[in-house]
Amino acid sequence: MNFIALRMLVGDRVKYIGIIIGIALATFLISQQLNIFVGLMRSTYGIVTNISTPDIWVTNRPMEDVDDLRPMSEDDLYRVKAIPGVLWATRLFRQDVQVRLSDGKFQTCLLLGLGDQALAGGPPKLLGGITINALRISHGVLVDAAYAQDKLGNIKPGQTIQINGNRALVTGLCRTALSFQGLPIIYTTYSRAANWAPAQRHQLAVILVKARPKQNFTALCQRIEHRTGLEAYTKAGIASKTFWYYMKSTGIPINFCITISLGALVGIAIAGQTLYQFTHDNLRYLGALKAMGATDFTLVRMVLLQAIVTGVLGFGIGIGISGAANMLILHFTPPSERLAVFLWQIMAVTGIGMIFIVIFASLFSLVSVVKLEPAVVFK
Amino acid sequence: MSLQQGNVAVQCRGVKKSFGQGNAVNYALAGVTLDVFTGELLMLVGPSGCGKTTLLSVIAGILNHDDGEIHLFGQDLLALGNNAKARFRGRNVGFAFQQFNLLPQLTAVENAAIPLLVLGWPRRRALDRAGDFLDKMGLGTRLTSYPRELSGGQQQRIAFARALVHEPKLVVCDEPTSALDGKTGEQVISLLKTIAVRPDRAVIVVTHDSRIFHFSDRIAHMEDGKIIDTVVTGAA
Repeated sequence: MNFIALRMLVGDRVKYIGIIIGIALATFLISQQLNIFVGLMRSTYGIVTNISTPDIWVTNRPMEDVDDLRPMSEDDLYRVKAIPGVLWATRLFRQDVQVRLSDGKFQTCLLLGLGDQALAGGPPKLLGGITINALRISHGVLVDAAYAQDKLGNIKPGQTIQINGNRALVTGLCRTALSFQGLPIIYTTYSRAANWAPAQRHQLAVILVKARPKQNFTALCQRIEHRTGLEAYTKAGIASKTFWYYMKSTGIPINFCITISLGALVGIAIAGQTLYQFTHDNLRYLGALKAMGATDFTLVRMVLLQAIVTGVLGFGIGIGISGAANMLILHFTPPSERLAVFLWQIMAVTGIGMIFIVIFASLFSLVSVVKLEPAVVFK
Repeated sequence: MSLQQGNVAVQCRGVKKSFGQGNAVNYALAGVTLDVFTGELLMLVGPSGCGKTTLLSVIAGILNHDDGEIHLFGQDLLALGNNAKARFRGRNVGFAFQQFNLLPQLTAVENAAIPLLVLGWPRRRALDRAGDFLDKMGLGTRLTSYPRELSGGQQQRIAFARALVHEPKLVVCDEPTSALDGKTGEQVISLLKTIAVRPDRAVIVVTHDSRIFHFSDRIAHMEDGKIIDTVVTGAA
């Protein structure tokens, strides 16, 4: 009977293609929007990804998201260092600064200052075989390669820029995760960053903490908070808090949710309507099959098979188009603006969504098949 | 051997069927009592709306009657659930429809093989058997043709092949010649008579077409939902 179901399906090419197009369109819309959404939401905690090494982040209270930090006093660093379980603690400077490029243009950048001694918390990946010690060169800064190319006048190591009127020498390139604000990230030492940036009463944005071996990070965070009155987070914890801040406080999830829902609705509407029309057009033949002994279960299985086949084909085509669209985006978008991601998890989620869409789209057809009186063949 | 000496294939006793409710109720069958025997070709005739097709539907088990009893080869159809009844139909009843109802997406041989596929036969075996059957019916060269490529007479022959391919004990045909011209109608009903009627099988044909009455063994006249008369024509 599967053979009959498939022959009936492909025999009506217009509807067959119509159902596939509906599902492919829905797949494309949903997966593409999910790709951008996930990429965008990942960027909200980009700075956390871009600071390597530490186990715990300590910030002033209250902290809503990692891009909105209230500087702390230098004393706080020493209070944190004194807490049992802390192996070391170091400063992190974070401030937006104006950078003057070699062509005279200005670009706002995110300046990160790493503790002078250990230079802990540097970028996750250094390029060209350099080490973090490249920052020890006088006036040295590290910049992200993609931003250097797209937003900093294609600057190369050995060239200089001006940060707030101070000469900075690019001593190396690195690779960082994109940040939500899209600002180029410049790494330097803490003291240099503090000198270059406009003065503030306090400049210590974050205290980065390395825990002693076998420490329970959550317990250590609680101890730090209890003894200092500051806020302490694991790396995953601060990323999560920032992520949820954006989820709750911005219209981003709602907007994407609307678009994804529209994609699903388009899929259900086109696929469901066409599948129903297809089933409706074939009711006389399905009735004949029923009269000839096909059970409701057999007919339901036939309709579901038709829905699944068109669903799988539509999903494959939609994901293929989505992948091709991503490749085009990668090709035509500067590296520093490539927010969209293409993850297997998104494909899986979209696939599960498509299963629901196909099942939902089949419901009306299934109901009409089950309710079908075989006597219709004599009418 | 006279007709009445065959086994009772279908036994109807006071069968009633109505459509609609309240004042709009319409009794399509108003207490039909009829026996159909194996080895006979019974024609159900009567004016439009007299209940011929409804009676055919309840006898074939594709429509439930409201009252009375129908036994098909001893089986009370109302005692069966929907799926059991479908399986019973699949094994025991062959259908030929007025509009043929051939699946346009399937070839002639695939259409003829449907009852075997419904019964769970392997596809290859079912197609071989259906091919042999169509060959017997003079369609051996049109096995892979689609219904749209065939004449009305050829389509009806495929429909007969589909009704008979699984060797059912009862064959029901609804106006099998109404979509055909007179000559073709006679040819296909003659073929049906030759191939379908066997000592262990009953054939019921609903028809308006008086030109084919002489192919029957017995004619049951219906009017207003009742059998008013049965005539043995003795064609057998």
